[in-house]
Amino acid sequence: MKRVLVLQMCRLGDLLQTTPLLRGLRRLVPDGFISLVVTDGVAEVPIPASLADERVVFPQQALARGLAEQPESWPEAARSIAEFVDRWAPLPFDVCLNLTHTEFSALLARLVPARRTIGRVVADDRTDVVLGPWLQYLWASQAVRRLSSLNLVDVYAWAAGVPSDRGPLDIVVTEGARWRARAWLAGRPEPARPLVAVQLGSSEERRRWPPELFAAAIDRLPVEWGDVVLLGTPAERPLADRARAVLRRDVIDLMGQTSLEELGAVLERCRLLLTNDTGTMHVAAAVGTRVVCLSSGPAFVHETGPYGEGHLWVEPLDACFPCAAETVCHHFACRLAYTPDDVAGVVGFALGRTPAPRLGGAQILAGAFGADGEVRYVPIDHRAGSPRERLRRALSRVWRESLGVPGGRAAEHGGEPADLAGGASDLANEAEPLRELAAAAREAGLAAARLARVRGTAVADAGRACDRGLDRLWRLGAATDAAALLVAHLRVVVDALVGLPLPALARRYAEACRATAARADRLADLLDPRAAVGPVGTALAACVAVAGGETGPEWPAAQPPDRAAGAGPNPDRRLRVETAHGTGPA
Amino acid sequence: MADAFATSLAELERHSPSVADAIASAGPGAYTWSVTSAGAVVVEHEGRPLDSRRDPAGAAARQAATAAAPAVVLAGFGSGYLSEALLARHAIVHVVVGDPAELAAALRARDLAHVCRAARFHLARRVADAHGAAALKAVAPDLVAHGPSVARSADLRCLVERWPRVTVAARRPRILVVGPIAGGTPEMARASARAFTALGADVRDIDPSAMAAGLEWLGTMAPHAPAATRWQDRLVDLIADLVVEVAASWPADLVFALAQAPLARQHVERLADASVPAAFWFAENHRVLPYWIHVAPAYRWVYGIQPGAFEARLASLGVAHPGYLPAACDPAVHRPVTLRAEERDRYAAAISFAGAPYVNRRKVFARLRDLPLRLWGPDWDRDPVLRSMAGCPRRFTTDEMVRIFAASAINLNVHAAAHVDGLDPEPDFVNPRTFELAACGAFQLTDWRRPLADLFAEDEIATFRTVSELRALIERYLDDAPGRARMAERARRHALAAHTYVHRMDRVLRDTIAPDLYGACARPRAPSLDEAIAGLARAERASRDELVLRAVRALTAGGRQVA
Repeated sequence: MKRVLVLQMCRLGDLLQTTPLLRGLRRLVPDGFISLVVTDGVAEVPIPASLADERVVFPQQALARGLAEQPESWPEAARSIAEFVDRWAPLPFDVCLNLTHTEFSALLARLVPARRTIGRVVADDRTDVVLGPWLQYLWASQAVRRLSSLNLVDVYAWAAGVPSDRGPLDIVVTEGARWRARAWLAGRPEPARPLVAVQLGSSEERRRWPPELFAAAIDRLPVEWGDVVLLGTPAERPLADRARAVLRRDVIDLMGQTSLEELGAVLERCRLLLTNDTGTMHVAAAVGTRVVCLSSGPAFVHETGPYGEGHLWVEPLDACFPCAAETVCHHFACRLAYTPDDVAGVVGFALGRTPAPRLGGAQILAGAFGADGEVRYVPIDHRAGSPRERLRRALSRVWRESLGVPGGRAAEHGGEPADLAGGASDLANEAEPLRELAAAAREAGLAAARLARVRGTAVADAGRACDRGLDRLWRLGAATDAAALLVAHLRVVVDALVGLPLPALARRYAEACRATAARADRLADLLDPRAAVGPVGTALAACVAVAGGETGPEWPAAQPPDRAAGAGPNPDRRLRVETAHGTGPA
Repeated sequence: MADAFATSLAELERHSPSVADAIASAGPGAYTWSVTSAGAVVVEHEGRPLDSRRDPAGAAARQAATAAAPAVVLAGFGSGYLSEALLARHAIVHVVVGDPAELAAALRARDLAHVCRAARFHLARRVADAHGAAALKAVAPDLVAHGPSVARSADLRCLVERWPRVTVAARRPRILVVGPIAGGTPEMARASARAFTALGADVRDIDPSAMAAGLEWLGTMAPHAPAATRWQDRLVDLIADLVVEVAASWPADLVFALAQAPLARQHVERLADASVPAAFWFAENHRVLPYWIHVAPAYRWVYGIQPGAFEARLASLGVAHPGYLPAACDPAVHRPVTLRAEERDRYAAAISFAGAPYVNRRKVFARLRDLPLRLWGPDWDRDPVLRSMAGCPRRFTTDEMVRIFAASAINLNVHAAAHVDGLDPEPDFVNPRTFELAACGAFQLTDWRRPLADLFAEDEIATFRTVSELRALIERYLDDAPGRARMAERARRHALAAHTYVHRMDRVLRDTIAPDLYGACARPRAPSLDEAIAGLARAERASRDELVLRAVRALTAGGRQVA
């Protein structure tokens, strides 16, 4: 029996985004034992109990609070952590999958007894490394966030070797919660009128569209489009007060009243959720309610957009968007990239009432499933063919082909339809630095391979040549965004090579450099097909599974996802959007 | 038993110096001792034995068995049998001595050097109050009373009766120390913070002196003087807001502000609104810097370095707890140093002065031009009369200062006085330099100060009231190296025993912090988390324990989630 530990120690949204992985794991190892570790902050999130055999709550917030109040209590905290991991000492895990990218989780991943770890973990030499190709990709992608191209849900699943099943996120909504939701929403003058939910909050100021602007947008929605329901936590009450101070129409205010289950039940009854990037957004996606998300700051649709088809995302076109997690913003310019009129127009479009609006400083993207079952967000307006969008799509393809999508088709069938066509020439400039990078990576790979072979006094010379090759690669990483991303990934891969003897280390360096060269070549060919140098598919196929020698876990008797059913456990609630290219939702 | 007594006293001197001092100065009292038929020595007071004549050791062992905790307090000493019995059963024994003469008699009667080495001794008059008892209970929760000693000592009776009601808080008091942006007291603020830490409090030190350059820059950038003041006030307000926010969110049990700390009256009032009490140590001459009149009434406790008139003035302004808190020394910083040859060459002087060139000092030193005097500090070279005496015309660091002291045969200490033509005519405070020189073991000649008699003895610090007296003292001591050394050593012992920042801040804690919180200060402090990690991190590979401790530290620092 396989024993799998999943460390998901972040917030509500992150836990919900882990549910397709857990669902797929259950399918892949039906007789396995799955332990899910969450923090006390999300202990009550109602995900189906069937997803894990054991759901263990680590009292992270309580411990952190205790340490803040009494720093001298660290021996007790250390004892709690030791006892927490010791519970599994008699039965180590086969795989520990750390989906949390914090220092603490890296230490916990190291302390938990497991034969193999995927994700961030502390190595013997005290350095933090990231293991497993897809989580290495995820960490590297943070170096150039604007080129991130894959949804966190898919990356999580693929990291565990689980194919994307095109199903929704999972959440439990009980009949009791539905009954209470019905009671709260009863007594409206027009019971048949649709409901539009609005979530004003978000985890930080940068991600929050000002509540006064939300109010102005709500005022612009014709009454017949729907009654507005305000949702949120008790802590977000001040935002509701600010909005209601300027709001001219009546709203149903449920802010601070709902449990997470009840939140799901209310959202089930809504036609649409207008929101910032929040956990509520993922709850709506889970219950199959269409989302219109207003993004700003670090909220980035290509990483954490609502999972599923037909959701809409309004994204600023500011040069600095999306900012890094640690950025301290002083201008909040991206929050003003769209106006209340723009937002009312997007809501009208999402409700099927109006055509898609043209926004001045922002664009609208819609979610759809791609060739490998992954969710991708595509602009619906005239900017659909913008260079950055096409570069992102090319990168998505390169990553999927080179890192290997479990059960995926992109690598097998030579890729997906040529959606990069129509404007390749403006991307040709990007190709040249990539070809130079590919040449340098090949050279560095050769130098590393030589280092693996030589012995005695020749080692020093070969080592210096290898260093020179890598130095050149690091320098070329500054040339363009795409080159920076590929080099950042190479760094994450080679940083993970800890504790190997020199020949083995050099061999792994060589493999990693060759894989980077193949990626750079493939990307250059996709961006500038006229100058393609050779059969790309074979080169790239060769670099699958050489990312630091790490691959996804091998599960017994992997089963293909149930594409015939097409919708996972909840097919009826799938959104019926035929296209995301301007024709509007059905 | 004379040798045994000397050995015991030496042990006491090492571990419990204040008790050793008390014994040395205690008379014989009415104590004698006798030998029982079984050969045991029992101390007697006015003919009454302090322990069982029949079997003193057995009786003591039976009483010692009643205490359970690994650390105990013994109230009273008697003939020492009970302390021996407790030491045989318990790891830590704290002996509270009611009458030093009783302890002296026991040490003379019996060889108790092993007890003096293993136990810790305290004077009852220092630990019998609520604060002292709480501090004692923090280290030893059980108390065993030596009946005959307790019966004869009011302080011991007070301690024994109080003991069952004494509680110790679960956490240490939190003290927020706020120093000035500029001015003369940043070092005092840092020393105060170190002292609070040494006493066992949790301390946060807001040292805004880093903003001094910013304040100056704002002054130079503003188009005109009023604008400069306005902008500078805004910066000061910003820092004060930070202090209030940190104090209220921590929350601090006490904000301890030094003179010229960037807190205006409204900020102190905001602290009070947030239920954070505040104390103010105005370690400046209140006649020279009168701004204190505006801020002092907002503080609950205000300390000055001028006893008498200043306290009365504070009381008249409505300050609830005015107090006198003299300046002090920090033995970790102000210490005797051994000079290297090049340092001796650089700093050596027969007579020196280290400090700022106030007018009154210039007048005094101008009359000593014929003497081998060197002046250290900024701007002495600007005075045409004194230029030739200037050592190094710039600010000196504390490290340089202690070297200047060590390299000078005679250190002059002339208190600053504004708009005065010579020595300070109102000598009602003692400057920090007096204590610092004493702690450094440096010989000093100080202008006479009214409060000095309460702080140092005449044979510890020589004083002068006129420049003529100063010249006479210089003539007397310049060639008397042994005399200088004796005085300096006596002054140093006294400074370390009674005038360190730890002594001062202990007084502040006792004034401002509830006894149970004060008691928590005495709890033994475990090594900090970082120290524990550093200890484990010496191994080549990270051990499990190290990883666990790093996980704890990561929890305290918070984490960042990708995407």
